[in-house]
Amino acid sequence: MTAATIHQPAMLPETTRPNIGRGKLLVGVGAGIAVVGSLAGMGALAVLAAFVLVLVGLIEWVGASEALTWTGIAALIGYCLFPFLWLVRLSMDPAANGKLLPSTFTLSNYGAVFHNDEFVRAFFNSIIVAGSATAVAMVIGGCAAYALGRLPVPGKDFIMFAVLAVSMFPGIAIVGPIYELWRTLGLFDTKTGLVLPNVTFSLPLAIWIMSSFFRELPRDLEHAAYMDGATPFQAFRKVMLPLAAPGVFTSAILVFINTWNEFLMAISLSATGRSVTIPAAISFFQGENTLEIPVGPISAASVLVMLPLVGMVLVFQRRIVAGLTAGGVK
Amino acid sequence: MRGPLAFLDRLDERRLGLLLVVPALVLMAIVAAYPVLNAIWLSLHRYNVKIPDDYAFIGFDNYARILVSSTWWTAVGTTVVFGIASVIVEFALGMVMALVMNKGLGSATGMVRVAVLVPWATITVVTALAWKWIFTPTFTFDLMNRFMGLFADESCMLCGRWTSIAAMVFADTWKTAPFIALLLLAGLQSIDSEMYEAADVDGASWWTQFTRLTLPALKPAILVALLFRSLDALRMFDLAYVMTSGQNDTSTVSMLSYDYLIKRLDMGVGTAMAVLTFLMVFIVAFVFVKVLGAAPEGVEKKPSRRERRAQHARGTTTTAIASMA
Amino acid sequence: MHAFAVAALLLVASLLAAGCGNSADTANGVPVLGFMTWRDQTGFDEKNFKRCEKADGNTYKIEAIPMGPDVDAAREQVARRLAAGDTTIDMINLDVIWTAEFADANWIMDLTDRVAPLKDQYVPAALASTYYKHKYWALPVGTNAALLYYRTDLVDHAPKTYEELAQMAKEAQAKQSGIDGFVFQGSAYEGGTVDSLEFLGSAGAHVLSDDGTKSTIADGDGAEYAYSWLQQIMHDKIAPKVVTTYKEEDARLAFQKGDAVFMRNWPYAWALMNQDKASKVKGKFAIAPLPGFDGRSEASILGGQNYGIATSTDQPELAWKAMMCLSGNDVQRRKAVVKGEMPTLKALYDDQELAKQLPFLDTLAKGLETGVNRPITPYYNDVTNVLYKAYNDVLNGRLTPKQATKEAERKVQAAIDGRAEI
Repeated sequence: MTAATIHQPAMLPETTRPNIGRGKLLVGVGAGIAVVGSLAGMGALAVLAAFVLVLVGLIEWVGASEALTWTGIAALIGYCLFPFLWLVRLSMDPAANGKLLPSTFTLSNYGAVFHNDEFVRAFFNSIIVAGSATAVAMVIGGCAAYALGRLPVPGKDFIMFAVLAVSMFPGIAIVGPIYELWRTLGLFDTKTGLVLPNVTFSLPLAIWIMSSFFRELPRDLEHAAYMDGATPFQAFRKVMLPLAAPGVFTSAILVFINTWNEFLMAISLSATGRSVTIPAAISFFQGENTLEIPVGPISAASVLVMLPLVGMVLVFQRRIVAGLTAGGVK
Repeated sequence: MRGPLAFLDRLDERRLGLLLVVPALVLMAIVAAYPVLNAIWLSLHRYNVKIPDDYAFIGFDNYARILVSSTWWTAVGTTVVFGIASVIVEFALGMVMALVMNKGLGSATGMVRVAVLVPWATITVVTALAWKWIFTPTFTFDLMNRFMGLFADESCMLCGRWTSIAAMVFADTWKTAPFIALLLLAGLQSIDSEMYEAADVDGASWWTQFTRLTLPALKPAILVALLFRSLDALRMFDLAYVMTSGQNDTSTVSMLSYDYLIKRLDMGVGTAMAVLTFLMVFIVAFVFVKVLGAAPEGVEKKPSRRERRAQHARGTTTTAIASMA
Repeated sequence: MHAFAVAALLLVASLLAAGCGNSADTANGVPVLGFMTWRDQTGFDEKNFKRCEKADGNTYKIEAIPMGPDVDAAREQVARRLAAGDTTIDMINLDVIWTAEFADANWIMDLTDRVAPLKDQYVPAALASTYYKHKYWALPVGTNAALLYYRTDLVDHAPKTYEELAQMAKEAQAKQSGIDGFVFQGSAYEGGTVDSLEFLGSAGAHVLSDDGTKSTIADGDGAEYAYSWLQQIMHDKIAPKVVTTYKEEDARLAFQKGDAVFMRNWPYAWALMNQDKASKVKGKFAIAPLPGFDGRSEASILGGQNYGIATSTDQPELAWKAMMCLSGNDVQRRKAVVKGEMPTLKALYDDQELAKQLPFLDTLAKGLETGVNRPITPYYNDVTNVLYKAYNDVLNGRLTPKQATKEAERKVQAAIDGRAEI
């Protein structure tokens, strides 16, 4: 038996599994009931029963092990996407009242979001804040990462510890004094005032990922550069930096997503359209009436702000996973 | 290089290294270290921003007031229960997911990867809103209502303390478990398949293989992930802020501190709470590091290799987890 | 090198971009008045601003600085900005409960000289909410008292007492299963304080002594009586469990779906429930003054808004001019019809035209006569915290009426003594 077969078990010749036909039938019937059932607002138990039918059918069709894996994968995907889909549903018809599907398909709530000045401004604020925080964190973090990854910096252990400590800080421990500091410096309710803490709290991540990328580059590269008469700084920017570009890019994505999502600083240090970012804007979202909680438009707004992130995940999935498990086992 | 940056080229490795680290250190000093020290200092004062003239040093008075307050201890209870429950559930579920994914996904790999990354990339505020509505009878579907009916009167999950905490654990798990699964998956894939083959030959059961082979191999990764997840759970803010806004005694310590710092502008009490939160986080981190430090003492025959792997796994997870914050 | 230069440029540019954007104090030479007020998506406020700017000969331009979405969040946003020394704010739309706190923090100007001469024009209770430490701090612009909404197809008259309400609700529930008897605001937030003060006041309990120095909630049996009644209706399922999380809109949505017999809510719900496409109770409900407890008392707690001038402004004259226009007869009338915010000008309650558009105006005027303000104290924040927690704990059954009363008494006393329990 080879290693490969372990991961592809149970693919016995079809003849030894006589119930394939019945299995397919069960899957079809079950799936049909499930779809029709949920459309018709059928009882939950019936839908559950339909799923059991599908599962049993699958087991007979492809074998128990495969069936379980497939079901597991389907359940995993469904579980991960469900809240997102639910927001899409609520954005069309917020009065759910137990029904799985919306009673109307309308995009009017999305229109409402686009006509909401504050929200549109928040969107651009978020882009500026997250964008500049990422850019700054990449430059500062990239330099530090190179130094910590490859250069003989005195007190390296201590610095690494400090970086680690910052990543463990509860944001709440500093938000009060920062508010105090910002109001004296006039940074309250400015984008700069949001960029600075975001950069700081992104640094540990940026430094870790990039230094692990730098560390993986072969030592000979610098030696070769020195041989050619390069100074250490030249070796850094001409040789090492271009080679570590994928690492920089990966950490930029992660930092961007983190900053895009930041909430505590956003609601504490911002007040108006001048600096309010998306997460804060969503939590301030207001309906036409002062007391109204506009579930439809909020859902629509949530879906809209998710789209860029889903897009990024789609495009950069490999890189993100590589970044998250950076330096990971090959 | 010419121009104002020309001096960079005259530096040796050591000096260049120092210079390159300085900006990061300065920023961390101004935006992280100074505020924390400042918080400690302010916490020893009576100081409300609304009444700037009434500023006085009062020693540990704020702490004394906080530590006898039932509100504070309720918040500590909520935070700790949420922390323990969410970390356990997330790891259990994450492990199951990792095992499923490790079966080899074939053509589904890309889809699963995207699906798993969606919760991770979702803004926490959005996560909280989505789950808040899913847990609210008027905004959810029939099956969910029945499910909630098992635990809560009139299916009202967010009406009681424990059911609210459960709902928050649920939401947090959704956001985090898939990500933990990714980490564990990376660990799983690094385990030599030869080992499993040998175990198969020995006739070891699936469970034995899992507990004797898989878990020990993943241990370093799990420990570091545990540490950071616990810290995240202890400082949890946005989820509770949006899902329950602290109703029914579900304020976390971070929320309570926020209440005093930003809502009441009571910097004295607020910073004292923040410092206590910081201490809690620090103690947990300390205990974990002690545990971690003791962990890698090998039972295995090839310590060097194991250690290297442990080191590797730890670095991996540290980086990855830091990105969760 | 290029990469480096570009990155550095980007950095500088982004910081610059992030740094700019402070709004100027003038626009095309016309002074700008920053007006911190409720976020308004309807364009209603904007229209009023334009009208007033024109009426006053374009001597100022009003720029809204939005706050919200609820009163707690709004207070937090205003306070945070004023404490940060924000100079863009010239006028503030103050909730009635902010007067004392903002006056004490020196965030709003003393307007006694301007308001006192006008005082006969205003509904007394509304004016009282601007009065603190023998001074007027704001101009009353909107007032509100809650109403009892009831389903005319399920009950034939409005109850006079809460006891009767419970009885009627029970009977209606027996006839139509699955319907809730009474919905109101039970959540632990500012609105919960208002509801709870109505229940407490109707049972004869008062939170503070007249001079505001003593916590008196436990005097007499009023508080225990009101709390017991609340626990009873929860126990009898007259009010659903979810009412403990209800705010105004939750109650309105439940009522307009046809899910409740009675509802306590503000006047704004009246127009919405008659207009909303999703409303299933159009023409099937009526309104009445809030009931009281049998043989005890009646109380309606006033909500509402006042306009104040920020101390940080350098153009108080202009601000006052704009405020007068924005709170004038014309605007108040339109606001009442469109937004359900009731006028503070006495004259408008005798206005036939308006009475035709708002059939409940009479009922409301009665409510305003007996209406009382929430305690006016700089520690209001702490006091309300105690009150809505006790109330929510009672509804949830976490505290017995006796415990809740005692605890509230102790905590309110600590709060007004300036050493609130955490």
